[in-house]
Amino acid sequence: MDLLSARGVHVHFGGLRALDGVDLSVPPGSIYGLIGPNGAGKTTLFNCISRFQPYSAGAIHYRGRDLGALGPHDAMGLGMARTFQNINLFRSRSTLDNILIGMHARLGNPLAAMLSLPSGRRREGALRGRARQMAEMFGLTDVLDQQVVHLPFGYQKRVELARALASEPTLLLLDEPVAGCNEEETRELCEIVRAINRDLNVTVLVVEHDMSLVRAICDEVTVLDFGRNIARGAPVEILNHPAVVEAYLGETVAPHA
Amino acid sequence: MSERGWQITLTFLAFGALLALPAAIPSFYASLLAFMFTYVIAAVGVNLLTGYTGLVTVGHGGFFAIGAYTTALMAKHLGTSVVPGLVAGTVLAGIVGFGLGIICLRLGGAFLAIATLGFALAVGAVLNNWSIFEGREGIQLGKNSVAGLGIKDVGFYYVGLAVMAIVMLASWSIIRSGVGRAFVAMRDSERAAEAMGINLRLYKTVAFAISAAMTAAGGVLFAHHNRYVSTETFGDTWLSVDFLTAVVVGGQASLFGSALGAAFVVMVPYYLGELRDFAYVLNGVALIAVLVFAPDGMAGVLARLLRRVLGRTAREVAPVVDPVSVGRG
Ligand SMILES: Nc1ncnc2c1ncn2[C@@H]1O[C@H](COP(=O)(O)OP(=O)(O)O)[C@@H](O)[C@H]1O
Ligand SMILES: [Mg+2]
Repeated sequence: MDLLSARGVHVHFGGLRALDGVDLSVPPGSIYGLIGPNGAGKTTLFNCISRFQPYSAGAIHYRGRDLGALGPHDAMGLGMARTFQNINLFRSRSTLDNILIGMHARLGNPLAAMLSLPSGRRREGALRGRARQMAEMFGLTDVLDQQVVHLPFGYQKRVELARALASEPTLLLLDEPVAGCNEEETRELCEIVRAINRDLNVTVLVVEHDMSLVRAICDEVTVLDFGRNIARGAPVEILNHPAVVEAYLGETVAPHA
Repeated sequence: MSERGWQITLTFLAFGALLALPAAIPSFYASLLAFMFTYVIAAVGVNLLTGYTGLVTVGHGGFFAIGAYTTALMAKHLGTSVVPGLVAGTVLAGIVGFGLGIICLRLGGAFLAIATLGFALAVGAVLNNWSIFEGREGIQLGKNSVAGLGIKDVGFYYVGLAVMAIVMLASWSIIRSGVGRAFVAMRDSERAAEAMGINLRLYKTVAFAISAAMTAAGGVLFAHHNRYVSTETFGDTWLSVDFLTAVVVGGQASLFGSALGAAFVVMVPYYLGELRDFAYVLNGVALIAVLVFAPDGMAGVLARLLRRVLGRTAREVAPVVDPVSVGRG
């Protein structure tokens, strides 16, 4: 069974049909790509899945559960975690705090935490230990106590990934993870995403504009254009698919690297 | 010693000094300091909401008044004193705070400031117009006692110090917990906070409730300190403005800052004596100066000085990419 499936999802912004009956199914264990030209509706669908965007028709199921009635804060508890297209960190906080906030769903009894009761302190100790492990995994140990706003771009990207994974999700949702990255940072991120998928056994849904990344890491992709599905398949087939080539006309389909 | 070590040491030293102080000063000054404690307590409550959670309140004088009038009415009709008043006043204000939090859920920025100001005005209007509150006539409170034992200025000083310590300790415990992290997360980015699983509605209303309860504890003590409440003090919004001024001038998201700021708004008018109305001008100047030159307030300035004394640069970090932002930590 699919880990995540969307059927006939509609989203309208006034007269604009951002999503016009979109389908998506993500099998467990995969790195799944959601691609399409700018304005295709990728972020909108992404936001429907992570519950930031209501939809007017259709249904989205995660592990067989209908997400329709849930709010954005429920997604994390179900085992989904997301990043943002533009880095969205808790800027005044340290790397460690950002990762710890990512573990909010595992806080346990908030009263025990607030009052520093023994059970709350034990839980806090465990969370901190785990957060340090996450930081180490992402090469962030040196910047644990630094305010994230002062970190270089590449570090901030990794903090956002570490924060999302801190909750130990089953499904990781990435919106254009390499936007703004140079070639080396892109390669590095591809490597990290692959490791997350392989070593942590996390299914990844990645929204991407950049084809080189899609080619490098995705097992399968769905292509959107003007809020509709236009193709689905393995990246190599898709990149030569006539409808996809047409949709990307005027843009570079071939990886520039 | 680490910076944190210094913080803890200095905190203990400060409390030790405050414990010993009444032996060294006339009881009149003990009384003045106890009065200041009530402001510190109120400011700590405001700081939790405005400094840490990022929800600006210009209405916490309303919660201060709820605390003060709850205990005043209880004293008048039930003959109770400080402790029952503290319990009832904080619980009642917590409930009202929760309600106000729900009403204000969708508001942020200037709209939230105006809505909370409206709350303070509404509380003032109720106090002025509902006869049980005795309007300008006011309500007298009897002699103060704790557990049946009468207390005078110095005794009251210790009651105030104890409540202030409890409120500060509670705030500190909350702030360093996952709940406090969630408050700050909402302040930094509501969207990201939601994505991390933080229920904005729940956490905002809880922040409102806790903050209201703390500020009301200050109000309860204020009533017993003056042994009198009337709309002369509680009928307008000056208390609300004082508390917000204390938090901003002292340093947002800093407990020590709340203490400094409260001391500022209490002591400046006191030492101005006859010229006390001039304090409004000074408060305004201080507010603007802080917002323009030192957004992290007096506490931030002191922390930087302390770091310099300890022989460290302000930021001992390697790669600085965005030096623009001012940390509020
Ligand atoms: N909040 C919004 N209000 C109005 N229009 C929007 C909104 N969000 C997205 N759109 C429009 O919906 C379409 C799809 O946008 P988006 O999902 O961001 O595309 P993509 O991520 O594929 O580039 C675009 O035409 C965009 O302008
Ligand atoms: Mg997008």
